[in-house]
Amino acid sequence: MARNRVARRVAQKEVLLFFASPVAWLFLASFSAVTFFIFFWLESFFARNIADIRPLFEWMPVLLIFLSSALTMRMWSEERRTGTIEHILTQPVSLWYFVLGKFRACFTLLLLALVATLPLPVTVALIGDLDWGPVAAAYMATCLLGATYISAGLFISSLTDNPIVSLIGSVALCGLLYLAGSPTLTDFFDTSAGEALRLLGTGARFESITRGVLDLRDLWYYLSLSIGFLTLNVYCLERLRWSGVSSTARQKYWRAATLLVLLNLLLANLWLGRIDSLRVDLTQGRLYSISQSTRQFLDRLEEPLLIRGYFSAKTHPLLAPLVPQLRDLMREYAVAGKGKVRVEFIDPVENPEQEQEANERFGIRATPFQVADRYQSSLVNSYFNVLVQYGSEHQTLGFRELIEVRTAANAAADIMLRNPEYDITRAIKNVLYNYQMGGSLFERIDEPVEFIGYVSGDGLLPQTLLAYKNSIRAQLDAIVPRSDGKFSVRFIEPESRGGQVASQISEEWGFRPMVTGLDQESPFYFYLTLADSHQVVQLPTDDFDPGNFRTVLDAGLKRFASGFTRTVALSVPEVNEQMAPSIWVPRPSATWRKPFHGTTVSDWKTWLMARSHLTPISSRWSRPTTWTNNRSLRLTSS
Amino acid sequence: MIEVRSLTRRYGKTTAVDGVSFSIGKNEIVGLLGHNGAGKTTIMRMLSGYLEPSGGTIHIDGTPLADNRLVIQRQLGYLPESLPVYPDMMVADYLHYAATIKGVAPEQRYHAVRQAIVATDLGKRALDPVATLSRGLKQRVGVAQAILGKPRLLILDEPTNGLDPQQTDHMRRLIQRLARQATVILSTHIMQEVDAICDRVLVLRHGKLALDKRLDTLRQSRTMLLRTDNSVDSLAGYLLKMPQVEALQQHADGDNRSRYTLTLHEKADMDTAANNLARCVIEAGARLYQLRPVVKGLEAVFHEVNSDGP
Repeated sequence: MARNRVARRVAQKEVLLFFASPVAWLFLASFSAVTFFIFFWLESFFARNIADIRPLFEWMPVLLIFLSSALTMRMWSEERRTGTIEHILTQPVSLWYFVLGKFRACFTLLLLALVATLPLPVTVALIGDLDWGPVAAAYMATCLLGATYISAGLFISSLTDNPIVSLIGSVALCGLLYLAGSPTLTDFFDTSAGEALRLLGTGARFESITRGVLDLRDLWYYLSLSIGFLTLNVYCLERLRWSGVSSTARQKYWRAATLLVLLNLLLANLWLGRIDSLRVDLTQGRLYSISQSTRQFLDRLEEPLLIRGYFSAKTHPLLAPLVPQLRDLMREYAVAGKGKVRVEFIDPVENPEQEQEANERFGIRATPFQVADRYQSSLVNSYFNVLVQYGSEHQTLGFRELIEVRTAANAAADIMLRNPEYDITRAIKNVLYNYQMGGSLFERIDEPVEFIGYVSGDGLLPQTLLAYKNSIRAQLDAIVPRSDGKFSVRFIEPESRGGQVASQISEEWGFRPMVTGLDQESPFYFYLTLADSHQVVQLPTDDFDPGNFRTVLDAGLKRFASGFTRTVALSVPEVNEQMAPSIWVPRPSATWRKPFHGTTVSDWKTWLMARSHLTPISSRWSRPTTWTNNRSLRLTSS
Repeated sequence: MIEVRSLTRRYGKTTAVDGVSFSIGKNEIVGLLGHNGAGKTTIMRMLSGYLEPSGGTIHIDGTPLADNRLVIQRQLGYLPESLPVYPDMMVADYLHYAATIKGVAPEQRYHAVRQAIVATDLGKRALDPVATLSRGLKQRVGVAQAILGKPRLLILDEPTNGLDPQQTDHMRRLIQRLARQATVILSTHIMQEVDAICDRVLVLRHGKLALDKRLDTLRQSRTMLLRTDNSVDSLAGYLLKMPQVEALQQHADGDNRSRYTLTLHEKADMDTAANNLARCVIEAGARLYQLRPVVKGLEAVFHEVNSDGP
């Protein structure tokens, strides 16, 4: 504790000395000025029309380099220049506390500089709906990155007695750390080497946190860099005592200890690099987490699922940054799949057999991209495909399905992944169902289902219906023995028992007696239902064609089986008074309107509400929904 | 208290301190004397733990400095050659900072700061920034920082540097007062400084210890000056027969007078020698004009040490 007080007192002194000079105020003021300039001018916040403060952090890694270097440049070099370092080195306190104290001082100043930017998110939150998760994450990332730069700056500052040399040196070192992971450098290498460099660089991880995902690996990366540089700082100060490098026991001890600390930090990084589950998604909508519905699909897997990415090492520069994103997501599937999901990545160019298999079996072909830079233009045959395989079923996703091209304001195309989780999960769902369709329907049904036909006596039925009834009765009787006792058939005459059943079904489900024509006097009942203890569904009879009955029955039975139903969720904005004049809002009506393009959202809502109390069965519903083109409707399947 | 054995320190190829050994007792005031570049500051830096010796050992109270640096530094007050002050800090604030990093307990900190301010007579300027102080006052701030927390060992590198005679006098008295509780090692190139306050002097020359003597033995003389007339020719012969006299030099001293410089035996008692010599001269029939011991000044010793050899 006493030592901690030393660090605090040192920090206090440094902050005091910092503010004693007008240069400090100048630094802080110019940092704020540049930040605001970038936010409003370079990144044109208002033109983006998005309520977030990402532009604030777009340039932060670069700005922080200069701010941190300026904050740290005098910290040790001044002490060395004026000779006060001698006083520090003769104090009965470990150097670590002085280093920590200086670090705390610089960090406090950095926080002060960041506090000056706080009005931005507060204002955005006041005028718009700001997701505070990514904002908090971004500030945290800034603090972490700042801490790293400050440590590097302190280290450089302890190497020299000239503040200007220290400033230039730390800008160079921090710049190098940043450049290592920036696209400028990684573009020279192929994807895997580029990715390794990106992991080394400070910028890419900063981006990852800024978008709102806290990963333990990123936190540890920054922390270990900070601790590493601070350790080197202590070592460099201790080295001032020595007369040249010789191999006295003390010097050996110091070198070994420093090396050990650095090595441990590095190893912990490598070790943590394999753990990809310790992450928190801070965004409001959990944008970067595997959704619950995907997890439900993955839980339903019985066979191993293979998700394979075919990515070429050299690809179109606009696609290249998407590859790691997609890889990350696919790895998330492996984590969420709890061993049932195998994720692998293949560069088809390096594996000719795999390429052949991809071409012949899965129909995956390389896409020719035209790559042009300032000096040359060439065609690159490149793969950007994802294969989802489950049992004998497979589905492939090409880059056309995965990406979305937006034209940005300056006419340059902006390519991004459309909704990769949705695309992949849909592919998984499709192969899962296609595979399950192959098996017997009754295996998927847990509770016994009873077929109940509310059909009038044979005498009351018209001739066609009588034939239909006999046909389906024969078909049903053939199914019963193959159902493992899960299926039973019962025909009830509603008119019997004094019409008690007739009034019951009329009340409950609206089954009313029908007539075939105006001339026919005698009404009759012909309603077919499937029921278990939870639900009753009506089977449509359409045009009373016995050939269709099996299809209709199967579709009906799927309502009772797990894994076949879809839930259609519809999200509609509240229509308020101001919006009303601009769009046509129909009065909600009880009449059924056919859902076509051009109908508005409230039509859909009405239509769905009207249908909700008794769900009619139609084979149309068991096919995967294909409304994704309609952007006003977001359909999620579960 | 302090045991130094063959202490050596090299800066690159130059050897600043070369095999220096000495030991210093408790509550001694020791002066390190030497020209600029003789190695005074380097020795002090090694004693304070700022620099590591290239060779040799330092033991303080029996424990080696290299292994127990932090414990020993807790007992140490050190005034470096360049003042360890921050111009933008207030005097009192700076002393509070210095007391904190020195490990003075929080409850004693204010007391320690006040004591240091009083002892160095900085009371009137305690709330001024260090930058506004004169050179002498800054020097006192440096000393004040060194005496915080009642150190048992004070290492002061040129403590009176830049002080006017009155301040110097004040500083000397302060050091003497501090020496009642602490061992003091101070370096200087001013002879009077050592003369005035030191018990012992270490003279350094080219990184080597040229002289290590207590000041009182240094002051003691084995030479006597005798002035007589020239009435007795064989007086030199008589004088040489005296048991205390080892050698003799005769100089002419004006009209019919002689001056003898007599070097006495090492164990000779000065008073007996004086008595014998006086009687010898009188009994020989010569006239005795003057007989006195020659006291060598420190300056003479210093020049003597520095003039022989290369």
